[in-house]
Amino acid sequence: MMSATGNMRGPDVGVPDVTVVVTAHKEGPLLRMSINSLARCRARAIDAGIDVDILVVGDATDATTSRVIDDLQGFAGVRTLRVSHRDLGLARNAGIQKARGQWVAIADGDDLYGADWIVASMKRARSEASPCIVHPELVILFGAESGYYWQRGEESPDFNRDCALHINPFNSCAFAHKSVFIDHPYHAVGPAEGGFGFEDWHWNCETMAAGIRHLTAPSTVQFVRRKEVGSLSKLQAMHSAVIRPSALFSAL
Amino acid sequence: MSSPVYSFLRTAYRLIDEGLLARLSPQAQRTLKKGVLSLARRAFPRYISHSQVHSLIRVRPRPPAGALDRIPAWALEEALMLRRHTDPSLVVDTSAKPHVVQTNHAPGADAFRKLRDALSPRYDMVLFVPWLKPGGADLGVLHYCRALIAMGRRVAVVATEASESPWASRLPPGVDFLEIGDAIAGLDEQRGEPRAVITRALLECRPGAIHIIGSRSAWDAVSQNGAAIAQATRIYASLFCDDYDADGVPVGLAVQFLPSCARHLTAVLSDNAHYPARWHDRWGIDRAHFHRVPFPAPDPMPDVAAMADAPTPGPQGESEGSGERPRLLWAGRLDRQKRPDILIELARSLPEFDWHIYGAQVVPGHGVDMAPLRKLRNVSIMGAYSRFGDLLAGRYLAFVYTSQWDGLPNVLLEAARYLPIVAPAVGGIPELLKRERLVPSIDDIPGFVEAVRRLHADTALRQSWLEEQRRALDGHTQQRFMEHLGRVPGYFGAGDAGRWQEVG
Repeated sequence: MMSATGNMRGPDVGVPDVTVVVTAHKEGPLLRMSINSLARCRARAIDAGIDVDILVVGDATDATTSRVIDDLQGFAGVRTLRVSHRDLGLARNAGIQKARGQWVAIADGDDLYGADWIVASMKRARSEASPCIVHPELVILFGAESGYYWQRGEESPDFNRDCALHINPFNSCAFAHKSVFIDHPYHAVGPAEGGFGFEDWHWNCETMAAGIRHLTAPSTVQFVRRKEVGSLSKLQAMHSAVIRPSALFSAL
Repeated sequence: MSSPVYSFLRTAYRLIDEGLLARLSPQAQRTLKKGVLSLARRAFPRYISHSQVHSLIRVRPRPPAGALDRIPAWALEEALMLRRHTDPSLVVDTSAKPHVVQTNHAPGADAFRKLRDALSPRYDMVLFVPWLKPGGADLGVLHYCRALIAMGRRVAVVATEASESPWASRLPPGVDFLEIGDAIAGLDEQRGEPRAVITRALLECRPGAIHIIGSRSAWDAVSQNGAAIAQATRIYASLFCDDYDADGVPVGLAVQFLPSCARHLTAVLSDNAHYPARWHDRWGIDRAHFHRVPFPAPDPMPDVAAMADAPTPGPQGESEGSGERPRLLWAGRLDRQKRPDILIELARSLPEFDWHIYGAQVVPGHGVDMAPLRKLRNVSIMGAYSRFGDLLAGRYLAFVYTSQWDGLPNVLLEAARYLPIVAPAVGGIPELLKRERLVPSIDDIPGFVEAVRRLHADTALRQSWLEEQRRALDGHTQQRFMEHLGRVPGYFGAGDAGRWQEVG
């Protein structure tokens, strides 16, 4: 079903509570597995009375990834959006603008998610009186690199936001009220050769500077796929990218 | 090439440090490692001359509160479900130790705040130096600052090493000076913490331009993050010459940083043309990138000229028969670059002359053993000096300069107006003094000896050399310096060139 915008596709699911914005570029089959994983999350959420739609934002996708996205037509709860930003930050913003849910969850098109991710994140976010951003508590790496790490939010007694000077305190997987993303859009990254990168790190800093707390949802896990080639984070690391100026550092 | 013994001991030290010493308190580490460093410097001066005890102190952060060291069962169950139904390649390494995301640790935050607050006035130019001590490059910093102030620019100087800066008091009025060496000395260079501090401060404060003169930390920041920094800030660097190790292999800041940084630099300033030509030949860096900006010589000082013109002892001096021996002056930094071994040989080979040696060890870790010089009966070690002109009361026959490598030594600009100079044809020296009257190589003892004795025997020759030197100084006036500097693109300001543009 074509929407009025011309490049939105997908069955009308009514107005969901949550829109999961998934960006895709050259993931190919990995994207399908990611969507299948998110479908589990959606099913668990619907069981808990939370309506979810998944918006796949294809940004200048290659042929394989385009076919995967096309095959998602008619997939329950999935809509698609085609853009040509060639920029992860701008692609996410485009998806957020089209998100129908009051809440938005940000996902990458090659990662996998624990089934309870949306339910637990919604519960955590709703437990706070003020707008907040919720991240998975546990991140497990697989693929070209194995490992895991715990994310500790600002609720942790020893969290020190000055750490953002050297590290990205949270990964890109985030759940928050849509207004948080609208008020604080992701910055364009620009080409890796320009020296700037890590749009999620920058976004984390900007939202922290705005007073929005970053928290974690207990017992949630994201499985992050580490690739041998084609990784944006590796490309940025190769170019020694740093994050753009941020209000967080003016106020640090 | 590192010695095997040094490599082994260095590895052993790192293992012991990681496993044991880093667990001690910073104070305990400082006490212990100061002693270790002192021993190591004596045993391996070539390898660790730059090391300072501050940089060896490790603060071992604790894992954030609540971080578990195993993957819980519920996560493993999720992984198994996903592996069965979604992605069979999802393999979880249950034996792995967790990465620790140090959200409870912020190294360098205080240093960053200090630098950010100091640079927040949005300077037109920020010069990054290791320190400000007596020296040619340091004098160059003063020249650049005076020029920028004369052009109405807002200027700051940032010293990045944990060392004193006695020449900070010589900065012209209006130049702000900041020392961050102590603040960043304890940061982990391996993890890039010092450069993160400098990079972030530059990105947030966006000075119009920076000029790197010897600051390793600033070079490191540009090397890694120059593309980002250059989007809002023009980047200049001064390089004067290569240094060389004991095997004659070029080392130093140009070797370490110029290839990786060149594409981010607006210009490289040098006081000579010799080394830029070498760097072009070595790395193919565009010649247009290099700008020769000769430093100005000191203005003539009538009182000094009078002293210099006084008759000198010797066969043709008025004081002949007075019993006074002719004197030779040597002045400069007492380090291996200046080849004190050659100085010793010259003093032995010219026993009929008294040698007055002025200078001090300036660069930490680069000092030399002065004992052999002190033993020579015709040598007097005079100590440090603050103004070259004050030395000329000694009524010297000539100024003898020894150096294995050099740009264009400032001390020659100081001496050229008053004393005939005997020097080797190295680096940029032939750009000041005619090559045919220079000693062909630093190791040419007979060449030095012959030149000194000729000057001693021939008053007209001394006068001829002196006049030639004074003519050469016409290229080293303040006006010429400003003209050269003005030709460096954007040095005195470039309008909107290089300003950061919003993207997206």
